[in-house]
Amino acid sequence: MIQTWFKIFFRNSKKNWLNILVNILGLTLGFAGLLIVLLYLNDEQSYNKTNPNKEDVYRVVHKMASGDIWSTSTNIEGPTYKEEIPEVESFYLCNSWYSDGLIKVKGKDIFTQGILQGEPNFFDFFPFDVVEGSAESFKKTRNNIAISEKLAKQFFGKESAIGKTINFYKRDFIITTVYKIEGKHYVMPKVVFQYKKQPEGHWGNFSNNLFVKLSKGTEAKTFNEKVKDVWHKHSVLPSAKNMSITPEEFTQKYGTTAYLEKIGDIRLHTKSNDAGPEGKGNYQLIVILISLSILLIIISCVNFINLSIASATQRAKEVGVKKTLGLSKASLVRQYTLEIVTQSIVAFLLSLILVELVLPSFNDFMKKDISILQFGLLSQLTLVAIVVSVVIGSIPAFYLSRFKSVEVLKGNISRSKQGIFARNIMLGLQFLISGFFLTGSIIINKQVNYMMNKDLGFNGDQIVMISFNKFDNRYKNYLLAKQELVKHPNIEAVTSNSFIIGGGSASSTNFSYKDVSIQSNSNALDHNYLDVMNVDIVAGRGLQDDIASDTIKNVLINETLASALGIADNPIGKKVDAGFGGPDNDGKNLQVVGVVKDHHTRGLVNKIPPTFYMHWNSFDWMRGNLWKIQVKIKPNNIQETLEFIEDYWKQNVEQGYPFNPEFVDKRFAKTYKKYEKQQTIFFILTSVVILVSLLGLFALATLTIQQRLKEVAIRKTLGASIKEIMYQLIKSFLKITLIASVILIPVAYYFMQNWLENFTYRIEMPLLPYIITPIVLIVLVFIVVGIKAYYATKVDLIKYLKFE
Amino acid sequence: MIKINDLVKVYRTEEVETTALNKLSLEVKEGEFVSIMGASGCGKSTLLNIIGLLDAPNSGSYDFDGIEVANFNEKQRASLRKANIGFVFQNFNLIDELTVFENVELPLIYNNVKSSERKRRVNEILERIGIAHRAKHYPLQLSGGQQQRVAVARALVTNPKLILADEPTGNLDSKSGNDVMELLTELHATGATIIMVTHSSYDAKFSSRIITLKDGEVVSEKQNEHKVDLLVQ
Repeated sequence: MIQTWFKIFFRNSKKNWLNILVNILGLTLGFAGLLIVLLYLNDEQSYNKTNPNKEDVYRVVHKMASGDIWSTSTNIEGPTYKEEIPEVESFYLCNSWYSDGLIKVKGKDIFTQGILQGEPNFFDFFPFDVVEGSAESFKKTRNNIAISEKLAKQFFGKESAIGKTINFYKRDFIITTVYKIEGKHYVMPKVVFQYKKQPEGHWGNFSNNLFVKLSKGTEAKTFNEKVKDVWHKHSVLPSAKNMSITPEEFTQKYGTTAYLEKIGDIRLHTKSNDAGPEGKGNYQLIVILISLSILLIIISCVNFINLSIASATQRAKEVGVKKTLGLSKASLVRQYTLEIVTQSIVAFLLSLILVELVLPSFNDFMKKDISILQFGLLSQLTLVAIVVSVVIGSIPAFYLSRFKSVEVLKGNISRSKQGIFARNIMLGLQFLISGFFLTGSIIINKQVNYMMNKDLGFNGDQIVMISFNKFDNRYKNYLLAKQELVKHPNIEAVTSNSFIIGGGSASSTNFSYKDVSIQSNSNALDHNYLDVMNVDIVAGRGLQDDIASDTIKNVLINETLASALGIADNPIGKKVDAGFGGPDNDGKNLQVVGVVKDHHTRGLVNKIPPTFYMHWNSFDWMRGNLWKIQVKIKPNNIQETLEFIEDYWKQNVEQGYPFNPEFVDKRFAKTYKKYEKQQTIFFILTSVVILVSLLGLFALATLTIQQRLKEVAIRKTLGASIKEIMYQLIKSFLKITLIASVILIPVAYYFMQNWLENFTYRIEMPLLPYIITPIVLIVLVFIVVGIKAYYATKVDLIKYLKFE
Repeated sequence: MIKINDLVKVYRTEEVETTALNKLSLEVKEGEFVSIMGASGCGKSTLLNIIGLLDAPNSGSYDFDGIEVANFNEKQRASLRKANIGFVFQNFNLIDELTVFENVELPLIYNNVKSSERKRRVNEILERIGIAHRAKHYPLQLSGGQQQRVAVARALVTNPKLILADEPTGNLDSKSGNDVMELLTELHATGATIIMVTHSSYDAKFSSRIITLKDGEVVSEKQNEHKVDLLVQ
């Protein structure tokens, strides 16, 4: 019997290959989307899941009076909590970032990243598998160090690492522990070393990550209440007293609330910006992607059902004959279900192949290392696929098997009006979603283009940034490099400043003129910096080599700062005070000699900050902020020039460190990388959603037009022209498109306006996308439905006039 | 009005070739009411389709009101059809989603008749057929006989030169069937040219001439004396 089923199925498939293709394609895309998103979700959710302490370990975070949430804690909190709150069993303090450096192993320097500094009880909180040595011995002295198995192999090969001495940051360490990390965790360091002594601190300096382990059964809520009292006692009362204000006033103005985040929830659910050195998951994106992929599956299923029913009517006769020959209804249902299950199994397999093909790019794009070979997940998805296929299989099957054999044999197929409304809604929804993505894509494109083409106020072409890694002698090395590098014919200039383009500010301070005080960025620079970067001076002059006071008291301010201080009209010569100083320069009575044109250095998401500029030599300590130098090179032989710089750098400045030159333009482009990513995701989603919607449209057009063939035949007999018939058939689809386009306007406007508000420098909401989108949708409807409708006008009149 | 000579229509599938009309010749004069009879597969429906310009013959000539149409393409046939021929089908072929009025109005729309004129003519014809009180109903709310009356009204509304009826009583009970035949007879009496395909020799007796087909050829022709037939009944 199964053989007969398949025979009929394959022969039918040959006739209806286009339907089968559309069915399988839609479902493949749906499954593939769901699979990728589930893989991504699974990966994100796997963080800290294998940590046996996941139920008891919490990170302490702080809500500041400004509403910001800081992921770091003060060093004094841990010991205080432990002493005053009985539920706190122990605490662990570590840096909130990884360091890197040159580790001396057997006399050789090896550049190593992923170094974590913390307290000795690391393994109590992150009990990684210890493959050599023990977690206990690590705790014994602060010079004991733990390294990962991989690094141990890299350092010592087959030799045991235990007891070996390594050296970095001017400290000697003895390896006592080699560990292996299974799964994903808040920290996954290659090296774990200890603070020289227990870090001290006061109640205002939030510098490290603090974890607490609560006794079993303690609720975070209880802790939160108690911690409030601790803060009140140690921070609020003394500070309020100091400032002579009431504790209530202090709390309102400067108050800090500490609360806990369970370690297992941090990756996806932290309210702060920071989820540890391994990064933060994008929960919002996951939710959006999951809802979209479920929507995609539903849409593909609806399309599948529509198309199956449409093609089923063509097979009504087969049903009639089979029923007459005595086949039971149940058996019929089984047959059609099997046919459709076969199609969805094919779609499922294809989606596996598709995901396998797409994963490398997805991994690259998301900075992930996800593999499709996750059997738990795959078996879950197989189950989903089976359920989906049984559902989409049985609905058309029941529809088909309901045909009454006598009527079918006579040629009467009943026309079901059931669900037409629901199908129209579904189609409208598809148009709405497609339209939203289309509009969104255009707007995102416009904004990203705007950012890429905006006049940034500087010119980063052909300027390479080179980073220092070592602490010592940076300014001296810079001056030497400046002298030597410009001797190369393809190097035009060498310069430096402290405020890295595309990065944050190295320092900021109060900057005041008379009684106006503005929090302002300070940017130390070399004389030629503004010239090399092509930044204009709009008033006064730049800092000059040959004027001695330019390296002492003379400063430049940018336009923003000038207007903020209220001296935009006549800034030159004004005496201003900086909030910082040093033994060499008290920072008071600085003189403004020039105004720098506002230029973007922190990306277009951020406003141009008030900034003042001084020479490196104005404050000795400022030179500690010199971490990058800029080299302007000629466009010819770039590779050769870079190699020359690298050679020089490695021989004369830093040995053993990686040399990572970075073009200023590229560095700046990183500030909108996130949005370029969104642009790409939107583009892909737009294409997929539109494609699937068109499949749905195709399916629905097929179905409704087939149901209306008799009507077409009648109209044609009565003399309707092709144009009139096509209009009749397309009309209802156009109506749905238009309604969807109208609903689209406020929906898209709301979401895209929200998105645009991310940017300080943004385009105005454009009108064009709202016009283009309906036009594109209508054109697509005309094409897809039009083709179907045109074929319908070629209907065999005689056939449809004779039989209903 | 209709002169057909040596008409041939062959249907081909991949393996079988069926000759539906085999050098058939026929003439129908203006004002005649002709019945075409014959067993299943004798070619009578094919003949009606060709006469109605729904289909084209393979060879032979077909003179419709002085125009040779055998070699007309689809577009030419369609434009001639909509102006000159009205159809009545066995299964009525009304559009379920349109009201009686709208169904009858349809051919006028396709013939570019003005809206006010359409309204007048539809109302007039519905009145004449005796179905005006049902103008706002949908086909499925009517009895079979009423539906067929609507179909006849639709066929008549353009004042066609020719009315083609394909088993017009096939789906009706004998009472309703009789009504429809009376209606056609009345139309004939007022001068309409009607060609009707039928299985029913009873229905055929309403017409003025009966042509019998077999294997795609005319095997007999018979003139009817209406009065006699009606008396027999």
